[in-house]
Amino acid sequence: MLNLTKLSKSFRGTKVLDNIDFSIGAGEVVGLIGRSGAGKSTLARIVVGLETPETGSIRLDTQEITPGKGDARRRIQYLWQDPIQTLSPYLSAAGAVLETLHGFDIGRPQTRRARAQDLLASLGIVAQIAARKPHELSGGQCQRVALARALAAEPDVLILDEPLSALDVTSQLGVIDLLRRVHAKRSLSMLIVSHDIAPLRLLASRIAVLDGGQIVEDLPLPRFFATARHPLSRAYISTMKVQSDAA
Amino acid sequence: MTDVPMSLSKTYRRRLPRGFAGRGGLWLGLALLGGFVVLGFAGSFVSLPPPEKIDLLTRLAPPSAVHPLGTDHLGRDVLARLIGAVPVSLGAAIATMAAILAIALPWGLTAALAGGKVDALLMRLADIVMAFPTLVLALAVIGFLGASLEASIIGVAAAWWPSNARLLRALVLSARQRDFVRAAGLAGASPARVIWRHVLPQVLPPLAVIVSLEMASVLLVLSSLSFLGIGAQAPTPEWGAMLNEARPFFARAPHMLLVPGLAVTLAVLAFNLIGEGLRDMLDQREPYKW
Repeated sequence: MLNLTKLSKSFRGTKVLDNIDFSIGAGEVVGLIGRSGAGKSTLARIVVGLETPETGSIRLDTQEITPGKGDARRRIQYLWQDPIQTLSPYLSAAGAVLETLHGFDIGRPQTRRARAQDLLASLGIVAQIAARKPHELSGGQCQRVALARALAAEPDVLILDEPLSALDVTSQLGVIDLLRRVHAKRSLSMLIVSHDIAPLRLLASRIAVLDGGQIVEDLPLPRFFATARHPLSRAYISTMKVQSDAA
Repeated sequence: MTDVPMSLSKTYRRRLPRGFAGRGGLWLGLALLGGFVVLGFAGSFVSLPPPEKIDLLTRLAPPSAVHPLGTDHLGRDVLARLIGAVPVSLGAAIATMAAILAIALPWGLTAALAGGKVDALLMRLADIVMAFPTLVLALAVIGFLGASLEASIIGVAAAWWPSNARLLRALVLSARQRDFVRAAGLAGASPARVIWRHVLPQVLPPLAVIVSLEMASVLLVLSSLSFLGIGAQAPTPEWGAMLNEARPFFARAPHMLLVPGLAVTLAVLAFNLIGEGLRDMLDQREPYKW
């Protein structure tokens, strides 16, 4: 579905991504984990056109794409780390979703408002809340609205950049549950960037570890926990064990 | 499940605008400006001699029942001239600010939105104009066109627009970098919609503040030019020109100097208070605390 080939990116002479080859299959949920500053978000931002790679190419299905341009802009949607900062303070929740429907010319103009309301309602945002602006919503509600906006574009790939990091624990569980339901219903391909392995264990079918600008481990979820060899992978697995022991 | 608001959301949460409540400065500024507007219209309803009417028999008369603010060195009624100068002085300031914005708005917007070479070219041209001292450039333009109020409007606008264009460009560039603006672009909003619906609403409130504060400066400069004799020409009533005419008679007829002087001071104060008040109010309206 989505193939990244020989992707490289530097910031001020420091190589953040070094000739990375990476792919996400149709309907697959891939977790990308790594230390802070490892380049996880950079990779995600390159895929949607927020950053430009120095080398490499990106293919969606078999077509080479320019991220953020043409049909790729609709087909690959991005969920930002801090939902409250990424919703316009000038638009209501319903307005944000409507904007996407208008922008990508999805559905008949007369039915778009109802479509936006339905989409929001399916994610737990009722009409009364949909009329509110972001500052009147909780973090979890903002993340749901942002997700509704992304889904309104009817994407094939959803990139989620630390979708839980700005939320409290209760909201995190709600969003995890929501993402699982969305994936089950739509069979979207998802790339979830995270610095925490716990939510990836609940969401991903495959986990890739990014370190030193390279993918150092890339295994299906069960095999990752059973056979991962890289010290960073082992460290992440051990944090899970510590957490479960503590629980 | 119930969403619990983020702990940070309290910090980020928009503070509801308190509007005009508790904003004495803004109220006072608006009241002063309103007073000038009323004064400007008062001429039509109050029986006063024409501001240009000369009566040498009553020259330099102190305030009296016939001439509430006295007369000037040509026997003209100072109150009539003060009222007659309201639309001239304030109108000239408004026309100058409009001319400045007419150049600065498209200039700054185009530079910020086009970026690259267009931005560089437009900003270097603005820099060239800014390299000249503002007053010197204004005087040069007035010297070329000939001394008149119209020439001083053009001169001040020609010298003043680049700083506003630069400021506007900076506001637009800053507004475009906000996450929600970039997110709207990724989520399907067209470039025109992004500018109209997400960038301009961020730019207009600070622009309103800038315009209010700049109006005060423009009014002062235009009055100064008239005071120097290269702005409004006799017999047009204009506060700066009235001050110039009053200068030789300050000892004998201080009302000639005090009346227009007070008018300029109060008008500048009004615009400054409105600008400051708007800034405080719009800071409260900022969607998020950053």
